[in-house]
Amino acid sequence: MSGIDERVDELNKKFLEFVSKPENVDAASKEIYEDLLDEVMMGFVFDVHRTVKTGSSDVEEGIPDDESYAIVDLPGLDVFGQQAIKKSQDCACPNCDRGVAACRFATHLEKCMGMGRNSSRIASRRIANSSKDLSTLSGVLSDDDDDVDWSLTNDKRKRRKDRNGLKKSKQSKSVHRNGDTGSAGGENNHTSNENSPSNYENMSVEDKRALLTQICGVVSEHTKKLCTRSMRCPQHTDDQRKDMRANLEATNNGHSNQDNLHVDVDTYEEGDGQNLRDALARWDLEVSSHSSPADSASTTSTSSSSRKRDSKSKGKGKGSKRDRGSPISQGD
Amino acid sequence: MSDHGCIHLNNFKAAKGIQPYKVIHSYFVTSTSTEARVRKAVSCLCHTCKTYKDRLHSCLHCIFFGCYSKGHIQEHAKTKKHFLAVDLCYGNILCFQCGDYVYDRELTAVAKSQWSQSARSLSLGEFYRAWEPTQVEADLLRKNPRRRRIVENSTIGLRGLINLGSTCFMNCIVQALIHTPLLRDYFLADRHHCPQPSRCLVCEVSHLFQEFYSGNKAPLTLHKLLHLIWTHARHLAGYEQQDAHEFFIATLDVLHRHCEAAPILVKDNPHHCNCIIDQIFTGGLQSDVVCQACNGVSTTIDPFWDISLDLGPTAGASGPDSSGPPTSLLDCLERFTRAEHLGSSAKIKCSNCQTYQESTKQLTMKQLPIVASFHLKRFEHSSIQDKKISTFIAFPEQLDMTPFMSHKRNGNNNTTIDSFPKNGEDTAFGDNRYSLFAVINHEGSLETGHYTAFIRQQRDQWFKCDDHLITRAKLKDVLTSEGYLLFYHKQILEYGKNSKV
Repeated sequence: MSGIDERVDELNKKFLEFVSKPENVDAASKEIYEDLLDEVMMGFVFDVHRTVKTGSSDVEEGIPDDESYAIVDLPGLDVFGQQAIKKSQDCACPNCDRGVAACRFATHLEKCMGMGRNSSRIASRRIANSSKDLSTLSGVLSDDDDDVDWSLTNDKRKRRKDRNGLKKSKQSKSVHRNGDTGSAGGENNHTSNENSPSNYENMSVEDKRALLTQICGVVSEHTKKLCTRSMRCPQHTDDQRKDMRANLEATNNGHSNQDNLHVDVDTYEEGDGQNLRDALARWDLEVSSHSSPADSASTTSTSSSSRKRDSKSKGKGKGSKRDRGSPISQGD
Repeated sequence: MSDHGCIHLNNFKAAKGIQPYKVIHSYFVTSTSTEARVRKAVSCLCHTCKTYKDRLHSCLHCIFFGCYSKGHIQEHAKTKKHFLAVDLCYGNILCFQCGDYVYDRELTAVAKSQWSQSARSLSLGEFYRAWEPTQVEADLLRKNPRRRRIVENSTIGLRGLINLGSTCFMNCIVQALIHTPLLRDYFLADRHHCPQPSRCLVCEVSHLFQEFYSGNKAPLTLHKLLHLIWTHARHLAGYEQQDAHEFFIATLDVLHRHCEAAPILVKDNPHHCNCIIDQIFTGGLQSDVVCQACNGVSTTIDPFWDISLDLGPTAGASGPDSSGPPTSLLDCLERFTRAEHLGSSAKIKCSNCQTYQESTKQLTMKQLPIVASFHLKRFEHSSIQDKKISTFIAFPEQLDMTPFMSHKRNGNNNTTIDSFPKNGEDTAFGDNRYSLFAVINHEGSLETGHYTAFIRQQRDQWFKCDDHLITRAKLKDVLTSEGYLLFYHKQILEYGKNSKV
């Protein structure tokens, strides 16, 4: 090793001597730079040579995709050349495996996971559920109860496509669970229609009031049923809703008169009817708590029971839901 | 595939094994120890012309170094009939009988392990090596020969995102993350290996990258991502919290936690996480509190993921130039890194003179992250009122962070600006230039608003992402937009000590 050490010392000495002359430094740095560049280029050449020689370049090269991915830059179209129309899409909720309309997924998930500002209410409701009876009313209308239902029947519902069919089979069970609230109870199995004016009539005034804070409530002439859509349902006018409520108050003041109930005679539109029919058919079948956020427009903005009213008045749309603490977005 | 060398090399291996190659390689190609480096320095010269360059080769049969450029190794091969030589730069084998470099799988494996050993002996991470498909990968590539190339003007990498009911805040953050160049490189290089794929947010993001680059043009639904984030960041309290900034930080946090769950190969310092999220997004913020009585300085350095910048007029700031509200990002940063007098009501015990004194506090950038995220505090919440500050804040396409670095900005302590930094970690000579790659905007008022994002793709193409709708945008649109979250990417990346395999 001593030979090597001497040699290193000698090289160091030579180097210092060499770089002490400024005229050498420039030339030397230029040369070193060029050496480095040559070396780097050699590395690249070797890489290419190796992939060609070992055949991996053919493998990597492959054959080009035929499809065109050129960006479209035209008014009214997105970069993919598609019309900017929102298509309704479904997605399976990772929490409960149910199909949910994509545009309502966040709302669903929040409740499904028992999160958000509702969570404490959901929790207390669950406790209430297990200990005492749930009014039929909230059974019909509550999104939250919906969730309760899912959590109970979750496993059985998994991967079942035909919700309606399934609900039929579930009917007796849920009736049993919610069962007994006076007006509904055992009768449910037979009459199965608490949305009908007759059933409505059986409710207490308080219940009626609670109900009418959540739904449109106008009675359709065709079906003779309460409209269970939101307060902003396009089917009926604000005036019709106002009349409906005025009637209730009048009834409350001792002038009960069933005949005064405003009946909507002219706003039922055929083209729009399928949804409503479906929804109402389902109400009939389900008897109670099986409203599905996935397919019923009415539950979008109907809230649950009167317990909810103080904190969140429903049917006012998204604005009322906002949290004031943070900057908010609404991705409408 | 022919990585089985050639008949001549195989004959040589059969006669003498791989030892000759291994020795030459470990001393004169990779130099796996200090001793080897010295030996290489003193003895790697052409035995004929004494040059140290000109593509030196070593004879594989005997001790002889010769240059290729002047034909001395060829000469040796011819006269001695030693037909195999090793290139001393890269360790490739030249067969003079074949007249070509040949590649042998066994020797390549030897070479690879010696490069790693060499890097270790220099306390470096791993030397760069061009990607090569493994046998399995090569088979997969052969079975699936179609290649989708990202050429100019291609929509590959762009994807609309369905609004799941006021989830534009999430869509925007996802667009920004997906278009973070280094994060993209990480995920498209398939670097995440996970013990628990079904519950892992990193896996979901990895999957999203595949979706964005799949060529599929239909908008994506991020329901799984939302579910995962809400599952792992319960404090987001569901759907009511719709601040894109908060969501961004929570997402980074969950990603970081899930990265940590995966085994980390190199971990020099157990207190410093080396996950991809930390590598890209974490910077160090230096806080210097200076005692006004004794000038003693107390310095702390805290990690940060983003910088939140005030937009209101400064109150109680020192210096004569603290006037109206800021009008540009640079303004904001200047104010952010300005020494602030803490006032007489906030006396702090000085660790130097052990008395409670008035002091000044200054924040500076000790270590810059690869992605610098700025949060313009446009939403002001006070007991009196909540409001949105919509003033125009100019932000540049190219940003140099040098003026806000600790060594530049902070005249109070440490090195003075002109002094030569002794510490290599001090990035005094580093390049601190950044370029803008994503901007998230909040349109509308505090109550009713909508988030959209501008993202940069392929260096200088800009696109506006409005949920499912992706349209082309101009740089001017981006720079004149209001700006809520601004994302800048470092232009020049330095080699880290911790670069992983």
